[in-house]
Amino acid sequence: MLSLLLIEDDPILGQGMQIGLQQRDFLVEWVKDGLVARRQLRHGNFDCVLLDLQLPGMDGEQLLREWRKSGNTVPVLIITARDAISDRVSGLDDGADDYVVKPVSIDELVARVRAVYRRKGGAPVSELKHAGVTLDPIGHTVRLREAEVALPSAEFKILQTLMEHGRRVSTREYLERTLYGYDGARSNTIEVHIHGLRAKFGKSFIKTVRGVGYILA
Amino acid sequence: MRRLIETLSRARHTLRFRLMLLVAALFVLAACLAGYFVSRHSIHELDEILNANLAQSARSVYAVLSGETEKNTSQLQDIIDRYSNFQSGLPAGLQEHDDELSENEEEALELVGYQRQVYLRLVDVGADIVISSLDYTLELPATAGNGFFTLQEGSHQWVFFGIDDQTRQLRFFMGQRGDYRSELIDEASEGVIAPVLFILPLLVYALWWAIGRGMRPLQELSTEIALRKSDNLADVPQSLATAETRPVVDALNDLLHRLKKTLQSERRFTADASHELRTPIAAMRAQIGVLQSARSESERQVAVAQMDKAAVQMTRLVDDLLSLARLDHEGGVFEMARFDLHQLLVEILADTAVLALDRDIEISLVPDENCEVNSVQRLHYLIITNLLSNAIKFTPVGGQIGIVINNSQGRVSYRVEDTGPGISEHDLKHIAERFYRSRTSSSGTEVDGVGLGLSIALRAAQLLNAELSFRNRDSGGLCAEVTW
Repeated sequence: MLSLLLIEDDPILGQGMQIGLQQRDFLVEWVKDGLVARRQLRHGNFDCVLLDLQLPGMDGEQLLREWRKSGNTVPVLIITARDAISDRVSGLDDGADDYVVKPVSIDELVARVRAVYRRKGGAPVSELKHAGVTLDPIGHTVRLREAEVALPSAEFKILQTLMEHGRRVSTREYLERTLYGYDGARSNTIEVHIHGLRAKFGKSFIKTVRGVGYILA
Repeated sequence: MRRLIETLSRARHTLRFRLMLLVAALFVLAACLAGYFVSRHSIHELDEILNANLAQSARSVYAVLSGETEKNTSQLQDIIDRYSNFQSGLPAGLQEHDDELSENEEEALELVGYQRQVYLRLVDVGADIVISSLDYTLELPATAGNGFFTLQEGSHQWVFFGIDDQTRQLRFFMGQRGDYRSELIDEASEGVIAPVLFILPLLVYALWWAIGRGMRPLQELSTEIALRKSDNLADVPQSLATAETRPVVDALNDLLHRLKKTLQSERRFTADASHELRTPIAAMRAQIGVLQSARSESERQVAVAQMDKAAVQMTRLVDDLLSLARLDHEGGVFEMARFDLHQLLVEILADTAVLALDRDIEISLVPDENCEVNSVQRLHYLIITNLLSNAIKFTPVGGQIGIVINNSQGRVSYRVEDTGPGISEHDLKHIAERFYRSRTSSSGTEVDGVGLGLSIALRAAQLLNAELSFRNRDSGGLCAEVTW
């Protein structure tokens, strides 16, 4: 179970988010004030922080900067209602790991928290499930319904990425980078792997967005 | 006096004052130039006359003297003195420096004021005798001979005429002091300048009046505008325009027209926006009411789903309104930078393709190659996302959406093509009006969301100096193309 620190000053929104996240199996500590948040951050031990930028007491950005300066590396997800683009730049410069713009659904928020946590090298949280396919990141196994399916490591990586991305298309460039790092040569090997996955899970399991990438159906 | 200074300092910035000052300055300059040339010409003429006069006098006196060379020196001296006194018009024996002069004598002195300073000298070269008039002692140059020459004596300049009579071994010189000449010249110049100085104040006053009168149409125009009420956007009457002010009046009227149109569309926008904003909130509250007294789980679930839909609609609308407001206010201050248009399209499609895929719409981007452009990424982002969501909205289930980048001969363009119903010719004209919603979705039912997306795209294109055009495809469906 991941523990979250939710820093949000709006009472209705904060309460809704707290309950919504608790329903989805997170431990949530909710504070409404920047100064209280600072104290909590010093003493508490959290897996991820959800930070609203406009706070009473102490500004969210200031809090983040101060916190990063002190060497704390816990993942921070900014939740902002301000101009998406300018906040993205300044927020990420200050050391945030990702941002979402209000309003956001609880499910979207959960997906982003999991993604940020994983990117920061936290242990994979749970099994990934999609259309009868279950992927266990720790045990490195994939099951189609109850039957285990043996996958080459490249196909496993691609499947894991597609499952993690959920309803966002994984671009071909991103998949290439996942497999080969930044200097991977452009080739049609991704297509070969996708072909392999389709052969195992059905032709319509993965959809192609031509010129863009792939997404699970 | 203080009031005059105040009036003047206020007037300093008026056209009237500036014109008057300029014209008056030009007038004075012209008068000075005219005076200068006139007096130069008069001086020249005067010089010639006086020179001729001097030469003539010298010759006639010499004629008398040369006939008397047999006489002795004192007789000659007497003739010279008498002549010079005669020239001066003074009775013999009366000197200018005399302290006790009778009134008559003073008058006589003044009358002849100009003519006094005359000097004569006769030189008998053979007998080595020099006879001069007594009033002055002048050193004549040894080389002096026939004709005119000048001589500086103290602060005075003398003009001489010399006669060198070789046969009689006589030389005769007659000189005239310069003051006489310069006084004459001064008088002549004063005659030119004095009227100018006298006329100038009158002229300034006349100019002030005339310019004021000439500028009355301007005055009337500015009064007409100044006295307007803020909500009066009627045209400025053409009768108030002169040939010079017509461009200003025309531009002003043009501006008023545009202002009127903008105000009208703003009013309509506010009315539409308030309706569109209130509707989803009302829907949410209605569903909350349903939820509060729901009798079954299925009723509850439907209410929650409806609330979610209203919230999504509201979110979109607020996003759109904020985008529009931002574009309207920033009004073109965007920084250009190089970015990969293809990459931007890939990212946008990665985010939004799922909306199309949910409805079994096939979506594609061609060609698959980088396309560096120098432009404003943010604005392209707005254009692309709005064109795309418009296409997804109107394309029927199982349809296709294609995004095509065209990069040839240094010109980049991109287009979004769908297989939806396209637009009628009538609607093409209104497609970008805010809140205009005409196309019905493929199923014929009303489409969620309001018609702000395309006006955002158009506004962004406008700020990029890009052209966003819509046309119906031959094979059916709409094609939206951005070129710049």
